[in-house]
Formats: sequence, C-alpha cells, structure tokens
Amino acid sequence: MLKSLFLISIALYFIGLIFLIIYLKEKKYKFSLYSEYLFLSGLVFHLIHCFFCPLKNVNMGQALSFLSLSLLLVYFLLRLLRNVKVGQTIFFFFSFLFSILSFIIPKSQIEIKNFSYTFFVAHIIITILGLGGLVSAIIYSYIYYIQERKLKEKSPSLSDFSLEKSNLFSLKSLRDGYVLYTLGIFMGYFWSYKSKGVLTKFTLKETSALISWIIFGILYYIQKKYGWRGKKVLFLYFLGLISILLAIAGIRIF
Amino acid sequence: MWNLFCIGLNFKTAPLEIREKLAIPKEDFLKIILRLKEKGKILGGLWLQTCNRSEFYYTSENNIEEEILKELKNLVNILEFKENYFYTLSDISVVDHLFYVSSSLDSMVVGEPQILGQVKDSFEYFLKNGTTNTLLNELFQFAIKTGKKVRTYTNIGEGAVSVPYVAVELAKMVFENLENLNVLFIGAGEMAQLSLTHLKENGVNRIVVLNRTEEKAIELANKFGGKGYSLDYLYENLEKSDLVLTCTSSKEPLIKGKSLKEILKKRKYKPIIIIDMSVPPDVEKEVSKIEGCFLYTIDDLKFVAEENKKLRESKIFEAEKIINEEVKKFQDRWEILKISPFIKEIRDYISNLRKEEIEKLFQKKLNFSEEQKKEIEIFVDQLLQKLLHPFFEEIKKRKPKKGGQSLIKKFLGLDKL
Repeated sequence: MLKSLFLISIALYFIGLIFLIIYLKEKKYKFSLYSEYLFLSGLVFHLIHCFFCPLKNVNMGQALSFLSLSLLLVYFLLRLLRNVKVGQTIFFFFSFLFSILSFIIPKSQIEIKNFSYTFFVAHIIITILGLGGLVSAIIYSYIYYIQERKLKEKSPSLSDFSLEKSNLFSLKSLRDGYVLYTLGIFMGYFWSYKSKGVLTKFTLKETSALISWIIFGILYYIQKKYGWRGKKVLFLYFLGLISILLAIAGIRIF
Repeated sequence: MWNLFCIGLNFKTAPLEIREKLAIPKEDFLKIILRLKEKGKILGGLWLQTCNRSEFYYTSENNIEEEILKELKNLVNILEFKENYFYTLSDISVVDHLFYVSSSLDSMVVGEPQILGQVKDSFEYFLKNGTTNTLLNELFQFAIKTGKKVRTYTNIGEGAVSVPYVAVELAKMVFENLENLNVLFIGAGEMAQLSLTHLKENGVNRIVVLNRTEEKAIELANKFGGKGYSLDYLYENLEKSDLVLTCTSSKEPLIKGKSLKEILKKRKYKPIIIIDMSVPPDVEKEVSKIEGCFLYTIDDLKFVAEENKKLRESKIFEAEKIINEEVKKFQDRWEILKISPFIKEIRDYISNLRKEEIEKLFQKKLNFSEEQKKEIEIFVDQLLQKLLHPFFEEIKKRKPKKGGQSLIKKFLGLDKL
C-alpha cells in the first residue's frame, strides 16, 4: 500500500516533468501550470507515504525521499504564500531525481538498535527540512548567478523575479535552513548518545555533515557581513552541496 | 550644380569606439565646412551629430567623399580608419535617408523622440552660420515637417521604447521596489528631463541630479522633487545610488573604475546599474568588470531595439507610407528648385526691361508728379504679375529641360543677350 502511494507520486512527478519540458520548448504558460498541478498532486501522495513510513529501518533511500519532499515543500510554500514562481525546472528536476533514487535504493530490512523514537524522528524531520532550506539557498544563489551573468553579458531576459529577490530568498533560505540543520545535527548527537552512548563516531555522514555545517556557517557570515553574492559565493555553495551529498551518501543503504 | 550628397556612419556601420572618436561637435565641424565652401568644393553643408550617428550633408557639383574622409582622418586621428565604416548617399537616396532619420525609423530605438530635436538644432545652427544653401534649407525643413507628421499620424512615439524605458526595465530586473530606488542623473540636458519624467511615472521618488552648473541641477531636480548638486559631489552620491544615468558632453570619463570598486565594497556589493548615454562615454570601460556593477552603454541597448522593431512593424509601415509621400513632394519641389535659376534669369530680364521702359517713359513726360509716377509703377507691376503668373506656373509645372529652356529664352529674346 505504502509503496503504491510512492509509485503514484513518482508517476505524477514524471508526467509533470514531461509537461515542464513541453513548456520549456513551446513557451506556453499553461504547460508550466499543468506541471505544477501534477507535482502538487504528487506531493500529496508523497506526504501521505512519508507520514506512514516506518522510521526504524530508515536508510539513504528514505532520506532522499524526504529531501525530495522538502524541496517541493519549499517551492510550493513560496509559490502559494508569496506567489513566487522561480527555479521551477531545478526544483522539480531534483525532486524527481531524489524520488527516483529513493525508489531504486531497496528498503533496509535491518531495524536500528536501541531506537529512541523522539530524538530520531526530530533528527530526521528537522535535518531534512534544514537540508531543504540549504539546497533551496543553493538553487536561489545559482539563479542569482545566472541572472547576474545575463545582465553582465547585456542579454537580460524579462522576468518578474528580480536579482534582489534571488539574493533575499537565498539568504533567507540559508538562514532558516541553517538554524534547522543545526538543530537537526544536535538532535542527531542526542539520539546517538542515547542509543549508542557516544556523541559521534566521525563516520563519513557525521564528518561531512559537520563540514557542511561549517561551510554554510561561513557562507551566512560572509554574505551578511560583507555582502558577498553571486559568483563570489557560488564556489562555497558548491562545496556545501558536495558535503551535503556526501553526508547523504554516508547514510546506510542496507 | 544641385547635386545632393551625404557621407556618414551610424550604429549599424561602425562600432562605438569609432563613433565616439567621430563625435565631432558642430562648432568644430563648422570650420571644415567653411574651409570647403571657401575652396569652392561645396555649395552648402551641414553636420548632423547625434548619439548614434555622425553625418555630413552637402550640395556640390561632384562627390567629394575622398576629400571629406581626408579631413576627418586629420581631425580625429583614428589608427584603424576603415572606409567601410562610412556610407555615401547621393541625390534622392539622401532625401529618403534623412526623412527616415528625422522620423526616428533609422534610430537604434525606433520612435525615440530626441532625434527630431537634434535634426532641428543642427539645421538651425548651420543656417545661422550661413553654411546651408537653398536646397539644404528646403531639405531639412521638409525632413523636420515629415518627422512631425510621422509622430502625429502614426503615434510611433507613444510608449516609446526609449532609453528611459530601458532604464526602468533594467531597474525592475535588478531591484524589487522602484519606490525605494535611489536614482542619480548626471547631466541636466533634454535627456535628463525625459528620463526623469519616465522614472517618476514609474514610481521613482528619490532623485538626485548632478551637473557642472549647480543651478541647473537644482532647477531640474526641483521639478521632480529631488535634490541637485554640482559634479564635485559625484562620488558621495554614487555610494547611495542604485540606478545611475549619465548624459554629459564631457570629453573625459567622469566615473573611474578604481573609485567605483571602492564604492561597491562600501555598499556591500549591493548592485548598481549605470546607463551611459554619452558619446564619448562618461564611464570607464573597466567599470563593467566590477562585481555588482552593471554598465550599459548606448550600444548595449540594441537588444531592446530589436524587440522594439518587431513590435512596431505596423507603425513602421504607416510611417514609411508618409515618408514616401513626403519624398515625392520634395522631389517635385526639388525639380522646381532645379529650374529656379532659369526662372530667376527670366524674372531679372523682365525686371530690367520694365525698369528701362519706365525710365524712358518718365524721361519723355517730365511733368509727372511723384504720386503719379508711383501709381504708374504699381500699375505696371500688377499688369506684369497678372501676365507672367500663369507663364511661370506653367514653367514650374512642366519643368522644362535644357532644350525647352533655350526655346523659351529664344521666344523672349533672351538668347541674344
């Protein structure tokens, strides 16, 4: 039953992605809207699936599924609350990719020992939401870079999303994502301490998470203090993304 | 004798660097025209200098393109002086071209309102300095009239995609709220007036105008509820500005890359848009490389011109119809101008005859009072006018060529003179 819910959401994402490709080719707004409706419907099924998903045998597959969900939540929250429609292609593509990967990776049959439910659930939800914020910050920063480059090359395209807005969203996503990510990591330490008796074992996941936490901390500081943006911070964002992916890769598969 | 020529370059034929160098003020070019006139090379000449074009209109017996290019070469010292940057037009194609120019169909931004004023200014300046002749006077008066007609009948200037429009569009791409936008305009000319009007209409409130003459800056700024200062306060104001528009006649760049880099650092790299409408430019090229700074010169606005052209095809078609009608009218007028020396010759001949005969009459009858003499003269003039008017009208209508002209002369006994 749970698997079929996830399968429906993936199918809806897939059709949505096809409509998005048609929109990119034809430049007809209605196709972009169809794509959004399909992704939104897929998101509902995905949410139900995640809600009933048992966490005792959570692995990388599920983490990716949560991350996909988190990205779509950020996109639709901005779309519905602030009427901001930007980065649709990037958000939808990554959400679909993470969902597919999550579907391919087999579910772990081994349950986590000494499972402390409260801290673990808090750790998973908060970290994934934090990661969603950080990945959104990366996406908005990349959009800023593209817009900046186009303006520099004297070929700007008319859009209702200004450069200032990209920077603002990037900074806000980074701030909110960072706070949640920090909390999520702390929850992870608490859970680890409670279930394993140690705070950290410096595994690939934990070390990468710590590195990404430092990188995003530096990023927020230099953006806020010195106003660095665009090309200047893109490299750091890229490093942050790599460390996030390494942290996810560090989550057990089997 | 009545050949019309035009040699020039514009944004379609020459890059900005070349146009910058050939942006010769009309005061400087006046010397060249006077020299050419003195040598008898031209009958009349006029230099048209705008942001995007430099053109020399002249009437001469022959095309003296090479001589003019030589003069330009001496004046501007361009290493890569390529002849193919220039176009040469003659006779009716000059008329066609000038009417397109004055109607703003040949502008980078189709429908822009500045060009007509620039054509008018140039014509008035050279007319005042006596370098134009009848043909050029007629041509430019027709061109100005055509430009006005096109604007009135086609509304081509309505909602014109002009430099101020582009400035607003660019500002919208970078900034979220135009109401909080700090706008700085360097220069207090016609362009400043136009740009600020458009910006104000789009909700811009914070305006600062800088000019060499502080009084002018204050006067203009007051019109838009802004502040005006002298150019000495340039860098202080740059730090606070988000959108900078500049249009001055300064020969040296006013905004230097090094100083702007420091300013951007102080602004925490908050983006700044600079639109440089001056030729030669007011902003150093290096500025475009600075992070957070978006420099747009007049050439960079080409992308808007392309979009604009597509949108206005219907208006262009209407405008072209008007231009074609006016070109035809001017052609007729030109034909009359061509035979005007012949008409003048007949008029002079008849006038001399009249003078001689009246003198003879007065010598025969010496007892005419002054009043009677005046009445006789008026009577003769009126009679001649009535007799000759249909004759001259017919000549103007038929525009006789050389053979016809000599036949008329023969009838009148002019050939024996």
